[in-house]
Amino acid sequence: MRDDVKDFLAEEIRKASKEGNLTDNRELAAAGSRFFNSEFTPDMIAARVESAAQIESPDIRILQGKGCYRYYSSRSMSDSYAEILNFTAEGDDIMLIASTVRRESRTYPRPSILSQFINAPFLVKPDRLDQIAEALAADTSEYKDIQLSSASNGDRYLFSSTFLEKSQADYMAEWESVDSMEIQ
Amino acid sequence: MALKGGWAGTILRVDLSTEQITRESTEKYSRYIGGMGIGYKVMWDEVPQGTHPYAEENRIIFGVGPLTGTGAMCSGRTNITSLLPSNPFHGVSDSHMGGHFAVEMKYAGYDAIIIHGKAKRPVWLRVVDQDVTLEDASVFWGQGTFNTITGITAIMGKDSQVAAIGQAGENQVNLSVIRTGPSHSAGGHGGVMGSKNLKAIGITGTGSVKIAGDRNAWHKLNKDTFAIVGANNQHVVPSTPQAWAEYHDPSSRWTSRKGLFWGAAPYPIETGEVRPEEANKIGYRTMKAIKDLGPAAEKYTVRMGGCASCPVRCHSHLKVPELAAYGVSTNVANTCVGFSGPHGIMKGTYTIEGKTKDEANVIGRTTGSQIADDYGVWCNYGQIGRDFKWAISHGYLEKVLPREEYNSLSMDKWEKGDPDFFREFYRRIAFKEGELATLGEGAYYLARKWGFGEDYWTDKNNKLWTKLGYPVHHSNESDGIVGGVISSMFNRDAQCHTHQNFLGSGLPLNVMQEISAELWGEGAIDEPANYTPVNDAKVRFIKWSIIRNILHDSLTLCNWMWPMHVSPLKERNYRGDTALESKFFAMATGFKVSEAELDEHAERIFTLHRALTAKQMKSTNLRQDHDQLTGWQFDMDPDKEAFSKGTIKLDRDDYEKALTLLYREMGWDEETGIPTRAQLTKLDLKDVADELERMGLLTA
Repeated sequence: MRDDVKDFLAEEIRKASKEGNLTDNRELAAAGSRFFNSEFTPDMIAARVESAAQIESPDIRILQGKGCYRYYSSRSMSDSYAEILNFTAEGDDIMLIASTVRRESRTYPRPSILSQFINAPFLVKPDRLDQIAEALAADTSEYKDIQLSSASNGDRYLFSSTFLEKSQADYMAEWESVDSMEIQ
Repeated sequence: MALKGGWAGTILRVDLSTEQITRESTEKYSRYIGGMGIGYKVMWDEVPQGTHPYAEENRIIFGVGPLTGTGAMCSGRTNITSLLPSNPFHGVSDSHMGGHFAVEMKYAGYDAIIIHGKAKRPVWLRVVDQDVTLEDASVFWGQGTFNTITGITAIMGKDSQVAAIGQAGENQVNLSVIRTGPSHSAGGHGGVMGSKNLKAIGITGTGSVKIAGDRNAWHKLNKDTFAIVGANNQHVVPSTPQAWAEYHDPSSRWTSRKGLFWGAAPYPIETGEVRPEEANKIGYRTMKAIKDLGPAAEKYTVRMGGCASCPVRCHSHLKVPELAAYGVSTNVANTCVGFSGPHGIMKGTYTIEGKTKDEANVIGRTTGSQIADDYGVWCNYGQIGRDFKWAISHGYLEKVLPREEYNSLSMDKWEKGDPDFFREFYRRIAFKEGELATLGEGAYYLARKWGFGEDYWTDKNNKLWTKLGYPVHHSNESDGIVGGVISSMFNRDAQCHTHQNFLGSGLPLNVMQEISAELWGEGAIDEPANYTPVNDAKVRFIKWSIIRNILHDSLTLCNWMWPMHVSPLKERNYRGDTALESKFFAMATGFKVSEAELDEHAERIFTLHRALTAKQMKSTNLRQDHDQLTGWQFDMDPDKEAFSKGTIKLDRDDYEKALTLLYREMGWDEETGIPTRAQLTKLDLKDVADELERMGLLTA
């Protein structure tokens, strides 16, 4: 396996990460083919990146997409951000929101204000937000832990009942959207 | 002990009654560090028990500290100490202002200005280095703070700094401010200046502050601090997910992101993403305008401003052309409660023809801020608005105001959300026009005069923390009992951000709990709204938070940024450096002190504050007379028990236990909360113990 190919791939991944983007094995196959004037398939790229990530370039991280592998460098991109970009790239805004809500309820913990999903890097269409929130809150199987909470000013939040009780989520939503405006 | 650096070395004393201006050495106060510490020592030594805030015998002390003006990060605060007019027993308290007044004092050569007596006619104090004079203020008397500051600046030159009162202060309205620069207010003591016929202080300093330590080492220390500083309130994660950041928090004040602009700047300025290593771009991190005024503020924002030696810039400077319609300058600057306080008097949202709800919110809040600032009316940390609305909603306003006065109020404007209502509201308060002006006397006096029932104090929506008449300020919503006890220790709203900045840093709970365990022990902090009873670690957290707050107000450093418990750096496991204050202090002054030793100096100052409170209240039991809550804290959320999820309800027994444990930690009488002779002696405050004993107030 040629080291210069692996070096090229690692640098391409790092360059994309520095610009705040993931790259995938299809894009890299095209770029590699152009650069080396030699045919690379996405599968060949996937194997080389996996090898590089294990040995020479431990900063390179791999995410599984539906039809591809996506890559980033931990030198300039966090795991949490890459996970968001991966869901965004998949075009599955329900999964994007559900996974973010679960992570925030588990990690911080806090309920997730719905309006944040309109902004980068989520970029969920505003007219989809309420629809998704209602769908998640009504779901009784895969997303049965995702629930709605509202502050008195109308701000809507989602939380995972696996990690937060509703009363806690309600308190935090009201604090964040209303009470904290008066106490700074 | 000779002062080698840090301190200017001189305190200016002005007796307005005799017009005598004298100087004394700072040395006698060095054990009290500066700022707040000097203020308390002067108050203890010179102001007799029972003195009224507006009496000639009262002092007002403008204090700065050994770090002010050194260039240490966020060292531009002025601490003002005096008796507090709105407090029922006129307890000693502090008000603070940022800006550039503090460093100008140091450059002029002063660590403090002690003012007493009463001028025979309105005067302003002119300080140009060693040239200090009292000037006729008749031309400024009756003017608002904006004209006064502008006028005195025109006389002294653009390099001067001015602190002034408005009409509220002149008329001895209890809730009044002292203001400096375009946007910096110290709430609470404006009336004390007014009672002394002192309209303003103008300072020009052409000197410098000496650093005792090595210059290169000083620069390295400052550089190290730049590496671990976050955004405003030392929030260390961005408010939106960003590639470089492992964590984010929508409530963080680290708002910089791609696509966010200072929309009214002369040319487009995008805050962009500002990574931790980009020290030269820290000023873009916090765009407070959108936090305080909502998303529409982006297009009105010219820039962010702030205080001397502060890279963080938490004051929003805006151009709001619509303000011309309300007769105020279209250039407006403020931050936090400077915007939300005036807004609190309004019924709710604003209605302005042709404007969106979000635009009207910016216009309304900035109008209120301009008018309140110009008259120099203080909001008592938002309480004046809640008081006004309580009086309306419970029928008091209509009952206590004479019919003619009530009918003259433009309540239709209030109902509609017309910002023009601010003009008449604040004018009446500032000029003490009619019965409505009672709102400006503060919650305790208002409740007594207008006959508010007990429900006024016990309604949680009124947010009154104790019957001393001040509201919550990072209280039980801040780690339950921790913020709860901190809020009870002062004579006004606890302006303590040590604990709140830590709790609001934006880091996840597990990281926060690791750091808090290292600093105060296991169990110091809980999951939000899932609080547990008091324990030793929480008590250490309480004490440390207060002590560091006191330390900052004495050094002076900004407690809205300091201490640096945490950092934005993953490679440091998000740890900050809590020894930075002592490192700066040692290098500036040449006195080698450890972190713990400097904290002990602050403990002395806090203990002196406690003794001052006992003296002023003539109390032999501060637990009973001072530290008790209004009650809603224990009775809120009737369907929930304290220590259950989803509530910040406190437990009565746990609160009393927390007081006992804190008193023990502080070396105070565990029953009464009065400092003991042993502890006072240990802290070199034997004279204070003797005086308390002489007054019959020493209980152990």
